[in-house]
Amino acid sequence: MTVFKLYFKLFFKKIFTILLYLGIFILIILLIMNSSTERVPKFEASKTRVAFYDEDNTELTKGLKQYLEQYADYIEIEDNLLEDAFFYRDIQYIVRVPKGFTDKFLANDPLKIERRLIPDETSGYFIDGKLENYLSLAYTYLNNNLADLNNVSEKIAETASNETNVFFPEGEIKDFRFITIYFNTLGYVIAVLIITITGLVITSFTTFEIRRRNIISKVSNNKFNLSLVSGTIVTSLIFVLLFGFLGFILFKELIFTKVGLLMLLNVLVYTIPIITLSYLISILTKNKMLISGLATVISLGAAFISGAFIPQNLLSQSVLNISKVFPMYFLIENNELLAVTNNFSFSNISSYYINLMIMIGFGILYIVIALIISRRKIKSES
Amino acid sequence: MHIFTTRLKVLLKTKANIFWAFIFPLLLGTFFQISFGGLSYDSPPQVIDLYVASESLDDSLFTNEFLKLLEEIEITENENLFIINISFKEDQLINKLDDKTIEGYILIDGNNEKINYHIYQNGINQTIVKSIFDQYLQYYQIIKANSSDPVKLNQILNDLNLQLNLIIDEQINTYSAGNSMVIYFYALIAMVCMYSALWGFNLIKDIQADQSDLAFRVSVAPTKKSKLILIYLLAAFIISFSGNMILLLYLKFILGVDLGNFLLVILVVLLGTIAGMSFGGFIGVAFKGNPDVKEGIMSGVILLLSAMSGLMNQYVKFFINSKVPILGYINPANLITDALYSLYYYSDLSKYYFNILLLSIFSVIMITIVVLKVRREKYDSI
Repeated sequence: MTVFKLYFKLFFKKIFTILLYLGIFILIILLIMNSSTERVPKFEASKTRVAFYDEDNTELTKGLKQYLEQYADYIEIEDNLLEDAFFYRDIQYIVRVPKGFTDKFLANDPLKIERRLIPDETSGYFIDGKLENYLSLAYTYLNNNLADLNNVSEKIAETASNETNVFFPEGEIKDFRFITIYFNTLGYVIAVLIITITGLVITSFTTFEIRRRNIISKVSNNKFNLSLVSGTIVTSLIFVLLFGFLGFILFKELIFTKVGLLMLLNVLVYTIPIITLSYLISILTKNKMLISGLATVISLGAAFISGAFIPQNLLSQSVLNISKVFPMYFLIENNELLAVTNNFSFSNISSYYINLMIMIGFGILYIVIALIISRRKIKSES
Repeated sequence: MHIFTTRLKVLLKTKANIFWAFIFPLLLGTFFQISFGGLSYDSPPQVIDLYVASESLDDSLFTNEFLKLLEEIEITENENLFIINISFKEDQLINKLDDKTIEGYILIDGNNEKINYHIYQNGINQTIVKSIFDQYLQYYQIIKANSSDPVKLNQILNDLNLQLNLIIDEQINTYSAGNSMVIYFYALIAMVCMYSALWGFNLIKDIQADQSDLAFRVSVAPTKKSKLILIYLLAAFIISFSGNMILLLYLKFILGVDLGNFLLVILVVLLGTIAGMSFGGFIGVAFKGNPDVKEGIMSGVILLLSAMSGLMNQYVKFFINSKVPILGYINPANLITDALYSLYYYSDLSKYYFNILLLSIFSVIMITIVVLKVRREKYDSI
């Protein structure tokens, strides 16, 4: 109990730094959440920001602009500001209809419409498709005398009104994509936070003189280590609760659903290997700056290859296979699974429970290694 | 010279220094490459499972032609876009949709020539699918309206299927059609430059007599303080800059990251290293108190600045640039990222120089504060 109490004494001594870290990471989470609206693909509902330059200005091209309007937010911008706007993504798609386009539209050698899009955003390709669709219809109508230049855009609009009826399930639709991003980001934040802070506190115990003093005390090495791990567990639990509370503030309606609660349990279990890993690192080195560096490398590196920042479905299978050496992979795989599940029977989400077991397995592995190293260190020091 | 070589030796003998200067950047660079090397934003759409409620199957031309079309669409040769499943009735599909074991299903209304698409959530697949359905509905109406004249109908079908190829990439001087994934690597370079702050910070720690025992000894040495600071500064800068350069060479020549004009890139890293070191110096003199706390503040702030420059999610950077642009201009990490990105993106260098100028101003302000603070320090007793 003495060691356990001392852990908290030291923890509170560092409370300023700890709160600062906590504040910074909450800010990072909020920034990532706020800017993620771009990343979650939506069904036409979110419009693409388009700069449309019509140098031809005929019924056909005006009709094109009108046709795209249901998918695009037109942004008027001066030519000299365009590059910067595209650089900063204020504009996602640029269209230039050249002068004389309509005149040459049906000719053998038509003029081309120039466009620019952001290569990795689907919205751009979607607009591409709509543009092609309009031109194809216009070509067919004009070439077969089904319309003339004056009413072709009207005709196209009429045809385009034949749309698929889309139905969503009755009742309230819950969108779990943002809460998934939240819990995926937590994978990174919890790792870096707990490793750094545990390092900050535990290194105070591992200074040579203090270790010598501890070795000759009544408390056995295992008990001593256990007390430190217990201290880390309690403080880590406080962090997880805090993030759970933040999740509650951000997603009031989602957090108490089955998905939300299972995600919460998921992150709680994920904390186990992070606690033991942070303990292992603190034993390996006494240098606070080295621990802080390792915390950054391990958490950021794991986050990138496990899909905490970039969705797992965009990462190749070989990358994901490598990332399976980190518990973070299993946390994120579980979150992604829960986001698209509504049947929570054991058989349907058995992989969720298997992943929890794997994370616990990681936790045990790290602590066993830590205890072995700790014992060896005592021998070599004495 | 003697002091210089001694100092160099001292710095290089510290484990944490070596880790931060050399190992940390290379490890993160490797993680980034593993992650982004396998990224496949441009990959063709994947095979989509399409469930058609068995009630849909009637003898109408509308339904039969539609199903025929769905079976014919190919992603690549011999690989169909849709795997069509017609073995379930609608009420079974409703249950599946409720459980989210399927993403959606369709019910074709052949008599009224309608397609009803039931989904629980919007996404990329759903958008692609709906676009295909819409096109069928539109073409079907055109064909139906002209079915009385077989010759004309034939021509219309030809025209609708014609690849017009009227859209081309804009001919521009910028390289914006390039890969925006490079931003992550630029943000990494920026973060590593900012972590040069450690060297600036340690320098202050080693010369301010109230910060460490070494500084206490140094302050009573006969060597002139300004000379000492200069030598220490040079030693730290050489190590830090070498570390950052190794990362740069590693990224360019081993990982093959696209970096633009290499000499200008080196200039960014040079100024970035200075900005980082001066920021560390600033943290060293700006706050009183325990060096551990200050180190904590510094690491946390650098992580936040890096996050804001797009390290974890490039959209965070664009979000800040469009909502609070001033934050982008005073954030040194963002200036480094933008300078590098503008080299990659623009053909003219005005934006590059603008960022370089702001970065230099940042360093000058930091250095001025440090110099003013350090010059005033006099101790009667410690």
